[in-house]
Amino acid sequence: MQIGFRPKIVAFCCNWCSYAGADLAGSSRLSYPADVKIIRVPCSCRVNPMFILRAFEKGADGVIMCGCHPGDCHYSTGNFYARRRMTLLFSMLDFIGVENGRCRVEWVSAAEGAKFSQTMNEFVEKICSLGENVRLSNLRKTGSQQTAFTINTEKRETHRLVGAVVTDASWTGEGSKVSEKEENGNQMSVVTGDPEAGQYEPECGSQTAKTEESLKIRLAQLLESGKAARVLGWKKGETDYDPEPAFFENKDELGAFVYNDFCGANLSKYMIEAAGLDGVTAVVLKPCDTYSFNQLMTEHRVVREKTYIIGVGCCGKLSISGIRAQGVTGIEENGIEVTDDRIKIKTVYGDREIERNSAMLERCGVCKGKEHRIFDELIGESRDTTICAGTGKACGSAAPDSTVSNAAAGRENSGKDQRFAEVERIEKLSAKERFEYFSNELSRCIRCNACRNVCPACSCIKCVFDGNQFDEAAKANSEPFEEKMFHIIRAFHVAGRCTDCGECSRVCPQNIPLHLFNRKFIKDINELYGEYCAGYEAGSVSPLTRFTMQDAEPSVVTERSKGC
Amino acid sequence: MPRIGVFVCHCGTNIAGTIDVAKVAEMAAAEQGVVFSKDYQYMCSQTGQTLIIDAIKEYKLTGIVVCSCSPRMHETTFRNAAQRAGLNPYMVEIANIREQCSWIHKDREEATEKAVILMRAAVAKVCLNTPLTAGESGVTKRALVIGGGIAGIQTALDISAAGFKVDIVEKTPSIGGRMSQLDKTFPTLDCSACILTPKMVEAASDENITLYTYSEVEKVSGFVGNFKVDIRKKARSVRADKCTGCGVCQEKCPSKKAPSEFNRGLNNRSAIYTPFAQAIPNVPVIDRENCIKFQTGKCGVCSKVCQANAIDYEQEDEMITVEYGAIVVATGFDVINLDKYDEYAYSKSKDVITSLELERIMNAAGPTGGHLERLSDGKAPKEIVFIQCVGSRCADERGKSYCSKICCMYTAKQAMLIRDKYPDTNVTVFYIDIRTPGKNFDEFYRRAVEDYNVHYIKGQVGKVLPESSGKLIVVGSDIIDARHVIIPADMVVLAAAIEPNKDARKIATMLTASIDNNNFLTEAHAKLRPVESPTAGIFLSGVCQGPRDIPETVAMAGSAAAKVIGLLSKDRLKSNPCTAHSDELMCNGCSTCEKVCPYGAISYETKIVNDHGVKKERRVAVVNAALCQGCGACTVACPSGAMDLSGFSNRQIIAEVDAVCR
Repeated sequence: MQIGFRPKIVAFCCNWCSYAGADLAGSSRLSYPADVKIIRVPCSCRVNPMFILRAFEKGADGVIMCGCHPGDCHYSTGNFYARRRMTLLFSMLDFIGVENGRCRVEWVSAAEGAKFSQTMNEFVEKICSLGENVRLSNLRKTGSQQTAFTINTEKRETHRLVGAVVTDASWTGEGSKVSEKEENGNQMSVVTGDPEAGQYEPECGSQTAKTEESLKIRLAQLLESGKAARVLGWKKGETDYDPEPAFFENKDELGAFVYNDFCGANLSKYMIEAAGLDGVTAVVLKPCDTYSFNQLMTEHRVVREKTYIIGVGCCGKLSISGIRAQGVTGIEENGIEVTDDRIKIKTVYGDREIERNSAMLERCGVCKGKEHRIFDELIGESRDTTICAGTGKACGSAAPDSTVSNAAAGRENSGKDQRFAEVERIEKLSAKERFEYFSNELSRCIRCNACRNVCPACSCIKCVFDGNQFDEAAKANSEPFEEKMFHIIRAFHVAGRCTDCGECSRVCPQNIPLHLFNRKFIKDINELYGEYCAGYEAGSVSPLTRFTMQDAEPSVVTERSKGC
Repeated sequence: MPRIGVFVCHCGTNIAGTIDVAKVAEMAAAEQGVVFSKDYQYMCSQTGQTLIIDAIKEYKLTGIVVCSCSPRMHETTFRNAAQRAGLNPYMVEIANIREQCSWIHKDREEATEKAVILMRAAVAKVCLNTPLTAGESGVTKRALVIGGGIAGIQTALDISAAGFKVDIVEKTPSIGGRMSQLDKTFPTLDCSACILTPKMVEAASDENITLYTYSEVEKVSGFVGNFKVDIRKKARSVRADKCTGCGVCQEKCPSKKAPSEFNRGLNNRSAIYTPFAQAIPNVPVIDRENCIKFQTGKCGVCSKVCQANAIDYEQEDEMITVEYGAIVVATGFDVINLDKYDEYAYSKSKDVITSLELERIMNAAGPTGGHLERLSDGKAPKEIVFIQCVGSRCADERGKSYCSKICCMYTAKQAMLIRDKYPDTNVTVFYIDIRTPGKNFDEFYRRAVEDYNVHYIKGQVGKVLPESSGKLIVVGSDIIDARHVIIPADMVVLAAAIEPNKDARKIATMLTASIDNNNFLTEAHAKLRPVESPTAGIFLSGVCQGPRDIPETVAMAGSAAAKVIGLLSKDRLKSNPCTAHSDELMCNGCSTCEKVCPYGAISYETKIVNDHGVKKERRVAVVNAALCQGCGACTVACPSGAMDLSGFSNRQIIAEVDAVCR
């Protein structure tokens, strides 16, 4: 404990129970330290996580929120929502390494003056034992960007957890089975594409090329027949490996259409724009993109009737930064050839060849599944791209002669379960290590907003960080704390809505693993409120807009870390 | 530019005793936007308010901060003062420097420092306040009373007397409630039925009163003046319009094995039944679980014997929706379950009974025809022990922390009546304290002790041991004589604690009314608003709010009725202007806010939005200010910050946070 340390403590109290409880503590002369300053809110559900982060930003050492006991809310259900929100927020603060106990939720009724006083005494004592809020304020005062960056380049190596391992994946044809048994009730399940789809192509590279041809033919048909007024797809960018989303309005334009191994971009978000245009837009969606489309439908941002969805097969998408990270530079034009398991690259320094999986987007190694959640027709084949833990082998690559039990054993460690491996690894670190890790990662943020702009869940017409409602506009680059606040709040705002499409990490020019924030929330939601996958079906209700009477208390975060 | 005035109240020495009020006023003057600051002895007094009003006028203040007691105490006072000075009442903020500062801190310097910070937060907030105008809504001139006991009946009668329509919803087949189960009432020993049944008849025949018996409230929506209530009229299986109440069906019903709820399960009733002879309405119901016809399909005796053709096996629950301006909760009480008090052998011996069961035994219409006898063998008990505070004033988790309030008096009454009617029966009462505050109450208790020789022993009973002989060995202690007492009793009567009706929480939740840990509904103010719930338009009558006896219940019923009449007499109501509103330029129309709104106040419309000259069709959220209660759940659910709450806006709270952390 720091001697002579007087903490700054903000207490948000709901008007009906806790504020009255504080009044009762006063009229009963039940003392608590003067460090506690109460801010009155109508209900605990009025407490925005931004208020709490703002308090920390401005130098608060502790923030406590008090509300009516669950079930006793004056507004009947407000504190149930508050409970979920605060649980997730506290868990995130814990995740980034803010000491446990700096924020707390306590339910205090109007009759519990004694409890209010006791709670505040305990809380102040706890904050005094933790001392000044150094973690957040240090970051605030000193940027230390340069150090952070050097530390990070090392970290990137370890971070690329699944990709760096050698694999010899072979095509199992599972994707085609998935397409055939697709029974999405409200869809027209017209499987077109390669007539020989049943006899799969062993070469993923040529497979994708074939799919591109089929797509071009089909899209041209759609435009010519007038069934679609435009097509949303990818067009060739400056190089082979940066295709960009584009609208195509006629057959000529379609000449620039591409579908290759670098078409990672999730097109769903562009359908918001298409919703405002006349006529039907045909859109090409990979399996994971359809989750985002469903979520946008849930949020009334896209119009199903004005959309014709071509579900396109996916064999896993590659990341150019993943290739470069392996020291491949000076790539020549048309110099990348992708086969089933290898990438052959012509560079000005000579030919290079690397494992395909080593340059795959992280999200493809932990793919949610190759099943399109919504579509009008399917073109092209998919294959399982998940990568098993330990072996680093593609999960779909059971040897032809392997026994069933072997295949099952491989499944157990499949990519789906690996999704949270990195989050779990970080969770196991000490709070200090976690804090250092995220400080290093986030201090590279240049607030270019690429993550926000690409995110299909970040679809607000105007972002809170650009508005003046929270006094946050135009502060972006002034203080390093802002980055932390921005990324936490961004993750919080998409919690329960994020489909884990991983676009944020893909586009980050600073290679910050932003998806970890989203995945942490998904993991918490799954563990605390039951498995939930945003976009699995349209119209599902986000875990943050529902509750149960028995929900975990925010203190679960503290208890959980005690167990570690 | 805001022109803020800061007024620091001494509250006599309540604040000034601990806080350097002059310094707070001085520091306030240095705050940005503050053009006037002053401290005064009693801001809430006439002179204090005049000081505020004069300052507002003289300095053309655009907002004021009063550093004083809790806003829960005097916010309205100061808002009204501001309004009298021509300032919008919502341009007032209170810095609570009494309850949350001077009363809890002793160190003058520390308390003053905190008071300054609280003042700054209030100044920061008030600078961002905007004038708010309360909306208006109409009032449906009809009241709903939930519960048809004496509290509900009296409330309904009093509301009706003022000429308003009122409906009573009672979940059992008859109105009357607990009072109808009582034999005599203290301290006058009136026969309970003799004073209650005329009221029941009066309620039934009152043209303003509609009774929905055997009915339950299913859903409540709306707000003060405009509630919409779904009522489930459970199927009686007997047509009320045809039934003559002759009672033949009950006599002939072959299924007579259902325990009688009215007689606390001490005897059985038929499957088709009215709870008691004076039931209102005098129309039986078929208890389908015990009815042979419903269970096996064969029987139909009641239908055959009914001359009026009133039996209708096909009848189904009927849902009706009625609009009300005010709702009174009068859900009453029950006695606690005694499973956790098995040292008194309640579950082991038929002769250990609760006081309410004794009421039924003593009652001429009860299971024993009014003869005091043991339920095990029908013998007259010669030695009766009463045990007080079973589950009341209980320190541990087993029982209730509160005093059930009525037990001391009814026990004195029961003891006295037994001694009067059966003078050869010994009566002993074990008590912790005897509490007799009430008119003629202590005199009544003294009569039991002095005139009727009831033995009162201050002490508790540790155990009741039933013996094979039928005797109940009561092992207790007499703490005045400091000795163990062992009494071989024939009957033991437990004064079990009372608790709110088990549906109270469900109903409170539907009404969004506050409820405490013991499931008693909470009043808006413990002293000054005892019959109102904090939720506007919801009123409390009887034991649902806390233990009380009949005269207190009747008084409370009248008082709740007066409040309802006051409300229903108004044609228009002013609503809380601190409601949510959505900025259509920022709203995504994503429907997230709608899902967390407890009042269904948010809807969506597709409209042309003019976004800085660009007209676009957008789906945007619209808040119905009349339905919104201002909780703010939507404001946090909204990712874009389009949804904000007047009076507690994002910027206001952020300003407070900044001021506190400065």
